[in-house]
Amino acid sequence: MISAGKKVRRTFAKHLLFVGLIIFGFLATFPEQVFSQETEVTPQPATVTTLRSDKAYKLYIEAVANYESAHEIYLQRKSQYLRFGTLKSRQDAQEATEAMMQARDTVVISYFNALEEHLTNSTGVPEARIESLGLAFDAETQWFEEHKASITSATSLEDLVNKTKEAESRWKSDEGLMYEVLSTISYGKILDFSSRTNETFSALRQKIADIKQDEREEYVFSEKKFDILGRWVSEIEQRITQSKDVQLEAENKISEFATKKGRGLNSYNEVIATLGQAQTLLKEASTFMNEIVREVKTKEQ
Amino acid sequence: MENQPNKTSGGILSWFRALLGKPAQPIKSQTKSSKSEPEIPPEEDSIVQDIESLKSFVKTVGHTVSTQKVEPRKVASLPKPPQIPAGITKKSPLKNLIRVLLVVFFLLILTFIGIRIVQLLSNGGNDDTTVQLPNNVIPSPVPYIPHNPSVYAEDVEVLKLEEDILVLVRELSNTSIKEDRLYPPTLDYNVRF
Repeated sequence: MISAGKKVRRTFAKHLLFVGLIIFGFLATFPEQVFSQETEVTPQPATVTTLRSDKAYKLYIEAVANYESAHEIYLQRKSQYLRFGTLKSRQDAQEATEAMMQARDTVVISYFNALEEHLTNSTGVPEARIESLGLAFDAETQWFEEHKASITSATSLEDLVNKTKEAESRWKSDEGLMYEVLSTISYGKILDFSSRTNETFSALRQKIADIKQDEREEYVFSEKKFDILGRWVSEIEQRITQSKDVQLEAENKISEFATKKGRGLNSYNEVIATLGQAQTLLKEASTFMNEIVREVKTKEQ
Repeated sequence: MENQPNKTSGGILSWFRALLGKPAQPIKSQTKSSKSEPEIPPEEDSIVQDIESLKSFVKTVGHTVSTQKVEPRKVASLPKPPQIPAGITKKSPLKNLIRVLLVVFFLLILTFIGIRIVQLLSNGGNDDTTVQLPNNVIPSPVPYIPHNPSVYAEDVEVLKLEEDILVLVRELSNTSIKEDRLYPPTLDYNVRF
């Protein structure tokens, strides 16, 4: 038999524990994190181009959200019309279909804008390439804007069905352009890394040549050490050359988007895989360069 | 009743005296009017006397005890457990099975541990994965290589190169070349009525 006093104490302990858990959960959820020292580099202020790119992407996301809600309404009205077949339901279905089609064209236009902005702000892509792709985007954006404006002139559901077919055909033909742009953006990153690796490697080779020419006693390395450094430099050259070959292979695949039809997601994935190999080779070359620097900074035994 | 204690004491005393080899004292009957039992010579029947006295004593105690009516104490009865229907047994077979499985599992673990210990002891603590070293060979210690900077360790150009290379390595490791957020959207062009 548990005494009344013990019962009261147990109940009080349970309540206390429950309150303590709630307080702990509140403190764990809403604290302000305070760091004594930042380990990561603080980000630079966003440039105008980055802001424009982010704005374009935001507009694209909003357009997608609007399209999804319009699409839901379209499906409801369509099912009502197919079930009842009344004039009123047909009118509602027509209006909902018009709204959905316009929202869909808005998504396409905003997507093209976002992609173009991203291409313009990407690193490593030649200006001429950006211009030519930008012109292609402008043409497609104009077509979809005209198509969007022509939707309101449709007088029947059959007109809307025909207009949808036109848009579908155009959208499928633009698939190659979209993936070409995405591939070009990725290729630009690798070109940028490759350029920087080459610059750093040239500077490193120059430094080793300067050390070799230095005749001061304590600044001179032995022949053995220079042999080691020479072998490591050859390894880096080999990696960089292999990376350039792989980049050329990726460039050929990207050019097939414009020349060959039916290039889509699979082709894009192939390009990404190839560029990934180039990235790996450049990373190895950079790691070897770091080893050379460490060797230069270490005194011989 | 009055004679009985005298008889009892006389009987015990006579027995005691008989034990010591002394003649038993004659029993003096105090009341002549009482219808006492015929006198028996003490040295001849002391044991009978003892028995008789014991019987009378028991009767007296028995009377005292037996005359009182004993009634059972009313104790607060515990609540009766719920009656289990005839179709269901007390212990469910599932619980028994779980208990048996746990015991077997525990025994298996113990057996395995025991086997491993025996194996280790029989092999002398050696496992297949460990390398057998001869007893007379002492492994040499790893030579300590102290930090030995060259004259270029503080060179400005070398330090700049090192920083550029480290930044490049970090970016190459952390940058994803794939554009995940700009895949073409999925749009419904299947408008049919």
